[in-house]
Amino acid sequence: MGGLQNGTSPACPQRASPLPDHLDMSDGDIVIQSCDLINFRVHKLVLSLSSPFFHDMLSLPQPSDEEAVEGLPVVRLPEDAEALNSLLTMLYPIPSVIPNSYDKYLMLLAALQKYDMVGIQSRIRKETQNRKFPTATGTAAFREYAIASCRGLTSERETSARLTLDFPMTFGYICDSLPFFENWALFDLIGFRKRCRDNLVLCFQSFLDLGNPPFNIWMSCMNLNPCQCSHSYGYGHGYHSCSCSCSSSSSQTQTGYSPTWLTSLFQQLLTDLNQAFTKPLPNPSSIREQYMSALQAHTKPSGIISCFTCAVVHAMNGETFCKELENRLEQAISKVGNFFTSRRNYWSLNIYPRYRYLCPNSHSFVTSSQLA
Amino acid sequence: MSPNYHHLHHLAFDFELSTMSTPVNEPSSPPAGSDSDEVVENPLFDDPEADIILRSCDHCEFRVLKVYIVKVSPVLRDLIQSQSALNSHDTGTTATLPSIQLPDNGATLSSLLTFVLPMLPLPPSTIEQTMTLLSAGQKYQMGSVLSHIRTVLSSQDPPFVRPETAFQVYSLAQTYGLREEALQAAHSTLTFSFTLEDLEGELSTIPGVYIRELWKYHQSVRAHLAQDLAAFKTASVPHEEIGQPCNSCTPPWLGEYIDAIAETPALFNINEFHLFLSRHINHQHGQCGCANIPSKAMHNFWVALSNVVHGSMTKVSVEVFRRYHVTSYN
Repeated sequence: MGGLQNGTSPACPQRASPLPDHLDMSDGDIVIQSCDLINFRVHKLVLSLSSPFFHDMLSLPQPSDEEAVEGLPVVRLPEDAEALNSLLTMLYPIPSVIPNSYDKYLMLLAALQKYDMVGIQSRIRKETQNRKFPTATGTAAFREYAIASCRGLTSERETSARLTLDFPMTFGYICDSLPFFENWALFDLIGFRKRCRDNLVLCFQSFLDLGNPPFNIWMSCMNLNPCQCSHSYGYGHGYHSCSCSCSSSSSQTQTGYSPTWLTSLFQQLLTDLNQAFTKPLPNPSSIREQYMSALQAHTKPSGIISCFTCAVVHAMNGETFCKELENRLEQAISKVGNFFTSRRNYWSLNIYPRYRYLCPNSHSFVTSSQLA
Repeated sequence: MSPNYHHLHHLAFDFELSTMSTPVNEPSSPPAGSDSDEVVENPLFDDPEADIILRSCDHCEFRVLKVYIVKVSPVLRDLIQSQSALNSHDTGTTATLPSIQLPDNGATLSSLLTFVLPMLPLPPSTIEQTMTLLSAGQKYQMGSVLSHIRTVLSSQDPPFVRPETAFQVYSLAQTYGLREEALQAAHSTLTFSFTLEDLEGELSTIPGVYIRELWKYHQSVRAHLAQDLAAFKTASVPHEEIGQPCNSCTPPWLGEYIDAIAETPALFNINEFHLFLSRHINHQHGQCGCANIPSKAMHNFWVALSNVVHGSMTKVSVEVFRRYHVTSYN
């Protein structure tokens, strides 16, 4: 990219250069210098129009002895050259350079927020909506949450908090990410996970009542395997239909049937939720797979269909059933989504005096005045 | 002790060496809105024979005898000497007292001076103020005063560092670089089951970087305990003390309890010990010799176990201190 010379951090400032190579920046009237001492020649007008922060700053009278590069005034910024390069491409009518890692993307958003470039921030968020960053795995998910939290990026904070649910949350697991956390951020993430767990527990408990709509699609199992239970009765060549509570049967309720294999699955997921911190939380996108595995184990334990009833119900309504499960789980977690918005209000209202005492200099939401 | 100019440089940002002197009999009342209610009223703070004035950041003045200050703090001694050197060039200040502007507030200085001057020491009432006091003592290199403060704090009832205050003290101690308090508080957190789920409320006051240090401390304690308790189990101590009351075997619950401590140090307390025993006896429906282990044998076993556990924790403390020293010297 034009403004980024040699792509390395030189020991001394580089000469100001146009940005990018094919854009004529020779008439730029100010130099922006990155923390790694790379200079970008840009236009004051463009900076002022896109950022109230720069507008205010550049409207102030400049000292007569201010530093100059090639005769142009210099503004030093704390971002590195890569972030500034991305940021500046968004100010000119050229394709935006969006960082390829989520960490750097968060840093860019934080810079845009800091310089009050709200419009550009929204544009970038829209542009990246369908972009797939490499999925953060393991400890990276927690680090991204911590970065988004301390930079005041509320929407990214929620997204990354959601992502952390796919991983265990123990000291051992998040150890390397801990230094990125401000105290309240970790406190909030624990609260978020607990709320998600509680909502999922309620959700799975409601699934156990499969006799109620819209889950009352199941019918009495017609299991083709000989029943091992003592009270079974013969059906054809040793096959039977039974309503006992053995593992291959179903129990009848007033309004429908609850196949035991399915209730066992939900029971197992409920049990797993007791270890919500040492195991990943059930994910709406993985419930289908778990359902299919349980169904397969029930209907085709040895590769041959043994329970036609459940297989038929699945063939007719399985897709709708799975979608309903996914939707309900999604809703259960989404309900916790506004958790961080309310937390943000708590912190900004200074409701936790102990926290304020301990971190008198920390601030989650950087404003222009603080920057100045 | 020779003047430590390194500290003078280091403290240049914090201290303002007052080149202006103050008239001798100026009243030393703090201004409205300061922490005046916390400032101890004492004639020794307004000594008619005072030869120096210490000023707090909230404009409290302490007129004291220089000798007390220079004897306990090399940092303040150097500052006062620098001040004297500056004043010796100024011929018009003979009727005034030299003053030193300090960055601490009146409440902190007031409490600190009660430990320096010959008077009843008055430690602050809150954790935050106490840590600020210790931090000031450390900043001014008042070694003997720090020991005095720590002795007074340790004799308080309830103790200054206890499970309820441990996390807050730990966080503040790390912030102020008070290694001794950090270690004491870390030790006190061993009574907690150290999981994110259980510590939610406590963690709201500690930055992540300190939580990481604390977790590493717990890990270190667990590792040492696992090693030392394994050796303890195989040694003859449990067999000697308790005997073989459980169907002519060493009671299994003892082994389970020892293993549990290595995993969760919070279980190391006499109540948990008896709980393990009770569960075992209930499980055996009382048909087990463990119900009749003599209390003296139990006591001896507990003492032996305590020695091992405390030994492990001491090893960790020594390691942590050594690490701090290596870090600070590097």
